[in-house]
Amino acid sequence: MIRYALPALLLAAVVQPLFAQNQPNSSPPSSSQQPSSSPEALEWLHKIAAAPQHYNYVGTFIYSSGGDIETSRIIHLVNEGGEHEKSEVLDGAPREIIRNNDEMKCYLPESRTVVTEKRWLRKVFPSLLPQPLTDLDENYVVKKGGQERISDYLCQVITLEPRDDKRYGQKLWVDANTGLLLKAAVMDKDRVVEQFVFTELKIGGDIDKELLKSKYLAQADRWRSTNLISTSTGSGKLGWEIKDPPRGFRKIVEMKRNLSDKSRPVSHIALSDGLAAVSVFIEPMSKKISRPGEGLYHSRGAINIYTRTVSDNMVTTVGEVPPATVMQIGNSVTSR
Amino acid sequence: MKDRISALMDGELDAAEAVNMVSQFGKTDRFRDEWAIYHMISDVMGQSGQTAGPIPTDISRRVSTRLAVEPTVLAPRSVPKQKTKTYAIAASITAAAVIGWMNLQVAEQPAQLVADNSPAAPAPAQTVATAMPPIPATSVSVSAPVHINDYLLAHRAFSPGTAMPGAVPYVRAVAESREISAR
Repeated sequence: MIRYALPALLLAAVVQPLFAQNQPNSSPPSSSQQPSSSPEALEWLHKIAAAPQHYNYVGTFIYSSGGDIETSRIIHLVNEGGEHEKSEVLDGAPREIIRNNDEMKCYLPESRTVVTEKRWLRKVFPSLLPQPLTDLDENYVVKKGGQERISDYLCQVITLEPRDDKRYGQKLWVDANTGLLLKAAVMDKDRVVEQFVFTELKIGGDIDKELLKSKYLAQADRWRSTNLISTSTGSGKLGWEIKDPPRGFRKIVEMKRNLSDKSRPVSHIALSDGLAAVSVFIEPMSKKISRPGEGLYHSRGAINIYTRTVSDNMVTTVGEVPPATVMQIGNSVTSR
Repeated sequence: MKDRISALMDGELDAAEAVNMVSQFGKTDRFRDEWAIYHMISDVMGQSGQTAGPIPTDISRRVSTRLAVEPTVLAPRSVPKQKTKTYAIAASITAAAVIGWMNLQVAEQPAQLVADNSPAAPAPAQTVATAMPPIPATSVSVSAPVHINDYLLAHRAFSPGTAMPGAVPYVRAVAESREISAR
């Protein structure tokens, strides 16, 4: 939920000193020409982050990117055990995502696979508190807009305008009463790169916990299971660095990760500008791995992917940033 | 080469060969055209098989017509169930490679960008950003190679990125997996 969107974006500010990157904490270079973010708008971001910890809801939302639209159903329950959530994709191949606090399980019945991921955020920062959103303000102007009605709820519009073309902007529609996010769009100037919006939503009320169980629970025992385990490492331990990231992007963590069908863990370096994240994956090439040609790939929505080889390693850069940004980051990956 | 295109279509190449083939697609128009034509032939043959009628002779006209209206035919769309997994991977790489090529082509410096291994290429990268048109909302489903889906999921898992409700980022990454596994 944006619950982890926000913690993560706060994270950049929090973690950065721990990992003592080479750039000193500079003041925003553009603050003299451009307006800084409105404190009130930043306050709304905190509200968005906190809301899912306080409210039950059941609803249907659509996700659209390019010409594709996909409908999903979400059930979100908060109880003494924390947050529990089930999302089902209603169009196309069935997919179900069950979340219990930090643990996520994706059920993919067609390929008979369960993918499990435990978020590392909490493990690292058990009590992450809202911090001044310095990184965010350095790279985006956060503004409060007008009010609009979404799914019959009156929403406050918040915009995050990028201060340069290295990143996309965002527009958020937040329920004025609860702070729940009811619509969000990733913007490339005036173009909508991707968006999601609730088409029907009920906030509050009791939810039967049984509804949150996967309908594949029984069968999934026999499915292939992938666990995307990660182990964070100290800064520089991986032996790789990002020499020249675009302005505002900082390394937030580096780790080793298990991925499905890989005998050896893959190195993973994550960067953030306070909102957008970019991951760099580095794995030694082997004959077993069929690898794509080098170049720029486009996935769904805001995600861009750039692959190149560096001294017998395949370096893949993935992020919800413009193509030039993944390329710049990918091209500045060097071994120490 | 034609034999090999045919083999790629039929899922007879192993992964490494398929990748090698696919990298050729990005480099020359001829291979992409052949790829498209093979699919057209396959389509047409398929139709004639059903109707038991004569095989239409004017294939090339149909190819060019369909290419004109439907450039996405370059990415194979329908694959019979019995095709092998290798093929599925090849197809998804193809789609990505072709699209990657198209994007770079727009930047008017494709060769330099594709081939450039040197660490710093800020200028052309800039060109890509500014010259890139909106991603066309066509029917092509641009799937990344299969192992990239793991990357997408891993990235999603901690990505602070797009401000979406809980599962949406996963839905998005998983959709990619699904597109590939469904082939």
